[in-house]
Amino acid sequence: MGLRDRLLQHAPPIGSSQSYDDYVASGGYQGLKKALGMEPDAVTQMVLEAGVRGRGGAGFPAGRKWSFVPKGTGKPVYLACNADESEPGCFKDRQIMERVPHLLIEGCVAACHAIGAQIAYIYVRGEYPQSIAALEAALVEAREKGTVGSDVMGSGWACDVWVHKGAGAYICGEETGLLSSLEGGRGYPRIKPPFPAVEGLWRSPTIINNVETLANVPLIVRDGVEAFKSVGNDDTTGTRLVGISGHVENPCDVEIDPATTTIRDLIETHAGGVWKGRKLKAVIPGGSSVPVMPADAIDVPFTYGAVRDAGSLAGAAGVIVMDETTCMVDALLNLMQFYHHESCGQCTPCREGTGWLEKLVTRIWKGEGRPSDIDLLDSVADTIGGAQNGKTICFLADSAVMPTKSFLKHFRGDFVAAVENGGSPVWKAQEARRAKVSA
Amino acid sequence: MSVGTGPTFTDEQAAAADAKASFGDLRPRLETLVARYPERRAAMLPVLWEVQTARGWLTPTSIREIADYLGTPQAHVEGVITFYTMFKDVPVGQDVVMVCKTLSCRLRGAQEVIDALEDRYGIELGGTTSDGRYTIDEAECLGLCDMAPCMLVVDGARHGNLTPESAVQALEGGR
Repeated sequence: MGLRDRLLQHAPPIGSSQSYDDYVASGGYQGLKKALGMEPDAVTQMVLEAGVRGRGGAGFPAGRKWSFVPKGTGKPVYLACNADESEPGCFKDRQIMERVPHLLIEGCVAACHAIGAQIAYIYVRGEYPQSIAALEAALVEAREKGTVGSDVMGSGWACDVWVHKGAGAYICGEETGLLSSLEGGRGYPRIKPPFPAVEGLWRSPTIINNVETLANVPLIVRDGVEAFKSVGNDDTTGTRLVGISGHVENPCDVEIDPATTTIRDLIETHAGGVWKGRKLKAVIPGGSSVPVMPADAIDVPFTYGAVRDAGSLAGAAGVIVMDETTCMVDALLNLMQFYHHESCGQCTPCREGTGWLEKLVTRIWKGEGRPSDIDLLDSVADTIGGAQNGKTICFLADSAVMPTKSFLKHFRGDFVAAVENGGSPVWKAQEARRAKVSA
Repeated sequence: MSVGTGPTFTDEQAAAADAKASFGDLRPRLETLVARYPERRAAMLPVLWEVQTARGWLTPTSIREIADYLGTPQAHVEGVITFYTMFKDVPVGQDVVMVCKTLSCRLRGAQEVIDALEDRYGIELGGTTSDGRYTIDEAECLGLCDMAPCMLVVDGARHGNLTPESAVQALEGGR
């Protein structure tokens, strides 16, 4: 069923954090040692050949991104680790930061060596105090032991790693929003190009990688490209950390071989199946921004390509499971409230459009919907999406559009029923409860 | 994003918060934060966190002091504060509790947890308990979906697998 521990192979249980000594005893910092003995470009070449794709959701090959850093600009280069894990349903990076913080630190320093940076900032969301504490404690050890600081592992090369704490804004997980936030401003995304690899932090070349992406780097360098590629397939190399939540018996985070593990395996084998003996209704496989899948579409391996071919995206690997009793109008309303709240407000289609999506779904949910509202919802979604066509700076609006359109495509019946029957069953139950309390 | 609603506090409340820590006393710690970045302004979030933690919330005096310290206009500091839900420019309870309402938690009973907390303390989300112990905020996904429904005390404990009863109990235990 594809359970493969690699990143978390030596991780202590949830609630404890691996010490420097335990990390070194399990082979830690050997990858960095080896990397420091290599030319920086050779390290980038290894990551490129390993084919590791960005684990933050977009799936862009990390080695290619690194290769975009221009040479000889005379400007400093920066690494920003995206640890703003804020996508609803995603909690995998937390496992790395809290349980094996040195793995991430080693990955950051090795990546800095490869791209020519001497400072890495780990941008951790403010809602993760336990992750921040684990990283800060590990950084104290790393400085003492010389794996971070003015003379990294006796190489004479200096590299600093700092934790930067966010303060509650989903958009700071968007890579250019993260840069704006790190520079001390509102987390406003920026127009690309210029891409951050050319002009990022303080207009200098900056590489932004997800936590899990960077955590793979030490293993690639230490064990070699072939060992890394022995798990997964050509499309998705290496393991994936996946969080499974919602209507399952045992919500959990697992590390899997994506080529041999299907979405059904994730739910039935790893998360104990749909809870309460109920039937499955729907799955959002990659975090709340990706299209929802109906129950009969989940027999696909958890690779980027296979999930895309099945009509959705593996994204940031947050699998949200919904059972047969779920009202999809209620579920969509919850997501539209989220995207409206988190729109940064720079672009009109997103700022206004996510508001209209929320208003329309609310109207249907409360039993005030008109039959034409369902098509109107679909048309508003069509109107506001399309960052790739220059409608908006970033993909937040598209992240609201993908659930909206897929919910309507696969579960239109729930929306029709809410219009015809005076609202969502969840709204009716809530009203009945409130009437009882006030009576 | 949160929208500024104008001051809803008295001068006495602001003075009491300022009295908890002088900016001068905070300065040595702030210097170590500023040193991490090539530009002073980049220390904005870390500095806001330090001052907020020391004083409870970001008072008008704090905003002036931080603007001076980082060499940036006050309007910029206010713009940053109002963008991030975890920064507070009005008085809050001794602890701020964030109760997750997003999908993975909602599917497992978050609304019932929220209803129970509102009933127990006679406040709506965003309000502060009458004894000033807690401000209870709604939160978007806290990344604790493996323990849904969940809530987080800012910079403190996280509570998961909540029921309406256990949620109230978790906060009562901390009183």
